[in-house]
Amino acid sequence: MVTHPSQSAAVTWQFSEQDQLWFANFSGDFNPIHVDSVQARRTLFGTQVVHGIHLVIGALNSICQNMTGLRKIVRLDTQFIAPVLIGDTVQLFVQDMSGDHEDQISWITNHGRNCAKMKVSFEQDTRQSINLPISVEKLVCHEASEEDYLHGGGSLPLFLNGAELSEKYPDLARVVCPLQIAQIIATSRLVGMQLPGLHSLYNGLSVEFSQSEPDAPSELTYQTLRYLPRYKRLKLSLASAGLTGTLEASVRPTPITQPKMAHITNLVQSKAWKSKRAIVIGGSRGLGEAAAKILAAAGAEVLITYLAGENDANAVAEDIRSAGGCAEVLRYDVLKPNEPDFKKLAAFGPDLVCYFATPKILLNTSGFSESKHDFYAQYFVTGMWNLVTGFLGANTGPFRLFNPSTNYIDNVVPGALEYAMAKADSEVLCNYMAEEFNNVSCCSRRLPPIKTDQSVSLLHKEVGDAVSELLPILLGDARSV
Amino acid sequence: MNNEIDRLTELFRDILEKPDLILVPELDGKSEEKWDSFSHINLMIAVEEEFELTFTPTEIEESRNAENLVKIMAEKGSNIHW
Repeated sequence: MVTHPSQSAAVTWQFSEQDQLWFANFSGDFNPIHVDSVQARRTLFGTQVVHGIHLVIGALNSICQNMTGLRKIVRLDTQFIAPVLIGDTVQLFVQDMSGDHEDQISWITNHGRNCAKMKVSFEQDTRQSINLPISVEKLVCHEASEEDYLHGGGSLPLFLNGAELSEKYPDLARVVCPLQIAQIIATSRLVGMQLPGLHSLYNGLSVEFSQSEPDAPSELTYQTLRYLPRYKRLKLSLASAGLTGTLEASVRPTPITQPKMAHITNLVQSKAWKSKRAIVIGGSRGLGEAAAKILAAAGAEVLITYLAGENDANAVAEDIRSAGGCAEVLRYDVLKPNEPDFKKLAAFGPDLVCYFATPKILLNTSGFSESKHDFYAQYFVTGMWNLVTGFLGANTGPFRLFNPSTNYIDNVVPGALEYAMAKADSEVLCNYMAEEFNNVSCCSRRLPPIKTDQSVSLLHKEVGDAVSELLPILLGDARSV
Repeated sequence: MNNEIDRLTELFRDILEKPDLILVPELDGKSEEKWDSFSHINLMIAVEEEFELTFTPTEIEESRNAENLVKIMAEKGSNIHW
C-alpha cells in the first residue's frame, strides 16, 4: 500500500511546449496528444499531455542526485493515474533522497492529487560499454485496429542520445546504465507510435532487469498478452536485452465527428433561414459545427469562426458549400478579439449569432474554485458581452443571440460546479441584454450532455447527438426576430 | 458485512489510494472525488480479476456507486452482500 511521504517535494516541475518536443525527439514518441496542440485539443484532455515516461525519467534523475557510483535498475513499477497537462505545476515526492537506499518509492502530484507513482530498485553496477545509435528513423504514428490490439506484436530498435540526456538529466546519465534508459524510453515510443499508437494512453509499466548478454540485439520486442475490448485496455509483454516485463495502455476515444451536410440536408426540410445571415462562434467542430450545418441547410449564409482548428473549420465550410450552401470562415478569439477580425464579423451583419465559444470542460476536481469560475466566465460571460456590445457599437442592426447553456445548472455534477455557475451567469447576462438593448433578443437553452469532444469518456455513456438536440431549437425558438 | 465486502474494500483502498476507506452503499463518484473514470476502469478490471466476473459495458457504467456494484456482483453469482 502506498502512502504519502511526509517530506517536502523534491522537485517542482512545469512542462512547456519545448519540454514536450525535447522528450518527443529524445524518445521518438511524437504522438499528437503530446506535441500537437491542435490535435490534442480534440482528445479527452483538451490539451497536450506530458509523456508519462518523461515523468519517470525526471523522477529517476532526482533519485540519482545523491547516488555515487554506477547503478543498474533491478525492477521498475510505475502507474500513470491521471494526466499531467502542459503548463500544470506538479511536484515530485521521493521517499528518501539520501542516495543510501536501493529501493525507492516516488509520487508525482498535481494540486495535491497523485498522478503517477513509481517503485524502483537499484543495485551496484559495473558499466559495460554499449553501442546504441543516437537516433533511428522516425515512426509514423500508427492508427491501430482492433485486430492489432488483439494480436499485435513486433519490435522497435533502441536508441539513446547520451549527449542530450547528460545535458537535461545529468544525474540519471551519470548513474544508470544507458541501455536501461533506452529501453524505458522505447516503451513510450511503443505506446504512442505503435501499439495502441495514435489513440493511446499509457497506464503503467512493470519491468525486471537481469544481466544482459553482451551481444543481445538492441531492440524492444512486444506482444499483446491481453486485450479487454469493454475497457479498451491492452496489456503487452515486453522483452529486450536483460529486460522482461509488461505494460498497460488504453485506447482513448477518437475525436467525435458530426454528420455530413448531405445527411443534415435530408433532415432539414425547412428553409426558415433563407436570406438570413448567421455567425457561429466556435463552429469548427462539435455543437457549433452541427449548428452551422443545420442553419446552412435551412438556407442561412453562415460565417464560422474558429480559434485553433483552422483545418476543421475549413472542412465544415467546404462540406456546406459542396451541398450548395454558403459558408465562410474567420479566426476569432473571444478572449482577445482584434480589431480587423471584429470588423469582418460586424460587416457580415448577422441576423443570428450562435455563441459556442468554450474551453475544454474538465470535470476532475470537486469543491469551488474562484479562479476556475473566472476562467469559464471569461468565455461564457465576458466574451459574449464584448461581442454583443461590439456589434451594437458597430450598428450591425437587430440580431438574435443563441446561448447554449447546460442542464448541469439544474443537476450539478462533481467537478462541473464552476462551469455550471458560469453558464448560469451567461443566462443572466442574456436576460439583461435582451431587456436592456433594443436590437438584441436572446435565446438560452439548457442542453443535456451531447456527444462531442467535450463529452467523450473512457466509459460507455448514453448521451444525445448534436443535430437532434439543436435542430428543433435552431428551426424553432432561435429563429430570427 | 461478509468477507467478500472486505475483499472489495481492499480493492477500493488500493486503487483509490485511501487506506482508511470504509465501503458503504452510499459511496459514489460524487462523494469520493478520486473515483473518476480512470480509477473506475482500474477498479472494474481489478474486481473482474479478483472475483472472476465479467461486466458488460452497461454494467460498468452502472457500477459507479458501491450499492449498484455490489448488487451487480451478487446478480453475477458472487456471494457478496452488505
